[in-house]
Amino acid sequence: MTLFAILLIVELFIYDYDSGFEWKNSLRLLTPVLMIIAMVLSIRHVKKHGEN
Amino acid sequence: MLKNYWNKGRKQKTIIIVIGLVLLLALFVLRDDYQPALLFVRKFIFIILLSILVLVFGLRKFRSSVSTGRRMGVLGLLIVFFGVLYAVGWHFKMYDYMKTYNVFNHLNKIEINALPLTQNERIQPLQNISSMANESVGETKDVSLPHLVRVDGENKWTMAIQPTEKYVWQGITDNTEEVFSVSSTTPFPRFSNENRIPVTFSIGESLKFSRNTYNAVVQRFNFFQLFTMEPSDTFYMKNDTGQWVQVVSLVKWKGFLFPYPTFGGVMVIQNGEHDFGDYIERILIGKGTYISPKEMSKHSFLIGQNTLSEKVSQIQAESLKFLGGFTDPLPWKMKTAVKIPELPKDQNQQPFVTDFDFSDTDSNAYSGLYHWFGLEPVGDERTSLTFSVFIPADGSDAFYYYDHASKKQGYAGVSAMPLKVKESRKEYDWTANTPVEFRPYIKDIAGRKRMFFLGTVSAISEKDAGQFDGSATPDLVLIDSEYRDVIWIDVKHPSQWDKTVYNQLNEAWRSSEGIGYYFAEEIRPIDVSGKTPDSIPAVSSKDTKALEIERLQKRIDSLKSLNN
Repeated sequence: MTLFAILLIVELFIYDYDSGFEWKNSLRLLTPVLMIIAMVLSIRHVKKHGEN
Repeated sequence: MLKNYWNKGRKQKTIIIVIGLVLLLALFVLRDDYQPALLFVRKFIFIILLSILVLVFGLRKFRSSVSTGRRMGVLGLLIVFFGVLYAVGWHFKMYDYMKTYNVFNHLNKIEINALPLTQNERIQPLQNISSMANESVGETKDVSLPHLVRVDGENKWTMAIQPTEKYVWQGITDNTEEVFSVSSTTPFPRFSNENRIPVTFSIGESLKFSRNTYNAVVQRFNFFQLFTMEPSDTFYMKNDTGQWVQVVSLVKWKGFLFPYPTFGGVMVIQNGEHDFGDYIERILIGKGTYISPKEMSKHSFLIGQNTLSEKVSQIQAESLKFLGGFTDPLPWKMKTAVKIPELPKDQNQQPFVTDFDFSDTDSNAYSGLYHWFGLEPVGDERTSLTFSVFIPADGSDAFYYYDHASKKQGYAGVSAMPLKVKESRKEYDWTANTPVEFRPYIKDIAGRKRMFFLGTVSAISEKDAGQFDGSATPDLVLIDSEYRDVIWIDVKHPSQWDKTVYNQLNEAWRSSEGIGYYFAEEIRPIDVSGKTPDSIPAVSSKDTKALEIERLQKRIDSLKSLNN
């Protein structure tokens, strides 16, 4: 998860802020965000239900 | 995870504290690097909050739903919401539409009913000045973008000679050592001697890291300014004490629903070499003195000066499309919708910074530099001049406009001009030359104010459209926007331009307007000395007496004959 957080920071760093919400531009941010959400949910799931 | 690591022992606690301090320091020192992200949040605050709200509630609903169908429904709704938001806001540009409407609503609009006259006409277009300046510097130097400013009561093009961006090392180690200050009204601009002023700036547009103008200015912002301000154009001028300074125009974002840009004052950076103390100051709190729009009137060198960001004046001028109402620029209306015309091959787009004399108009506007726009109807094929817009270049809260369309003047706009010039001289090689930068030329000629466009013919490189010919005495044309006639004028004799225009057009004006005669039609020498009379009489005095005697004798003879 830390790795994806770093990836998100890097993406935020190189984001083209002048072009605003241009969709291709914004999709690059979406990838690490979704991965972080997925990992948080899966960790929660494992904690709640066990590994199996 | 971090808590477990912290509880492991003393060494781990030290590591966390040290790393934390380093991160905090980085967060403080690298403000200039991540500030665009903060500004981005400010610019789109409403959209971001709305999206987060919908996403959170949507995901909560998604997770609480038991059936797969319901979950798919929630997911579908989320996708539709964001799709519609993107399509309406960005694809159909309604977000910009609302932003521009906000700009329009907050403008101090003043309609003028008489056009101001132009004064101190600039001869050269911006790109020619830029080309000529670049011809005058060495390999390791660059010239910054020229700007027209007031220096010592004159209009001058000023630009910095700074280390080139091509070589990074010079950008890290060297300073900006000189500034060009070239008169804009002379037909012969020189980039040497007194126009090349030695002045050291340790902060420059092409310099690296903390010595970069953008970085130094952003570091100087306070916490709230980091979210609302952005640096824009950089100008070089003299301050009240006669010292050369760098003035950075600031853009301030206002509003919540659809934030819009406004003039946010300036940051003034002093000249001079930096020592270690300056270095620490630069890194920690940046450099510059912030002057807000309200405080600008306290600094006389900023009054009537050109300090307004073109980004701001462009959106202000464009917002005039809402003059007919909120819905008027929509595709099914478009009655008063206007655009800023884009000129092909012309690198310098509107606004054109022009010197206007407002003394004989019905407004309280100052006479001096303004950002001028000639707005035209939105359609590509429509090239009539709809509005003339005059935005004070010093950032004063005023927006003057002259409505040509409602007065049914039928003037031709800027984008109609290039073809007229080409048509007037077919022998030119118009593949290598092009008329550029049609700026307004408004003069009181033959009884009334007449509006012309002053264009310059520039040679443009076939390989590089941005490379303009830097000839000192270019061909100039004046085009009467009402009569559509093209008058070629002599660049070296600006005092004769009005007479040249009159000579070419007076008969046309006389026949259609019934005007009288202006200018001296007959040539009457007033400074030619008369013929000096010869000191020796052409007829001798003796002969004169003989003639007198002869005349008197004739009288006596006549009297004698009467007595007989």
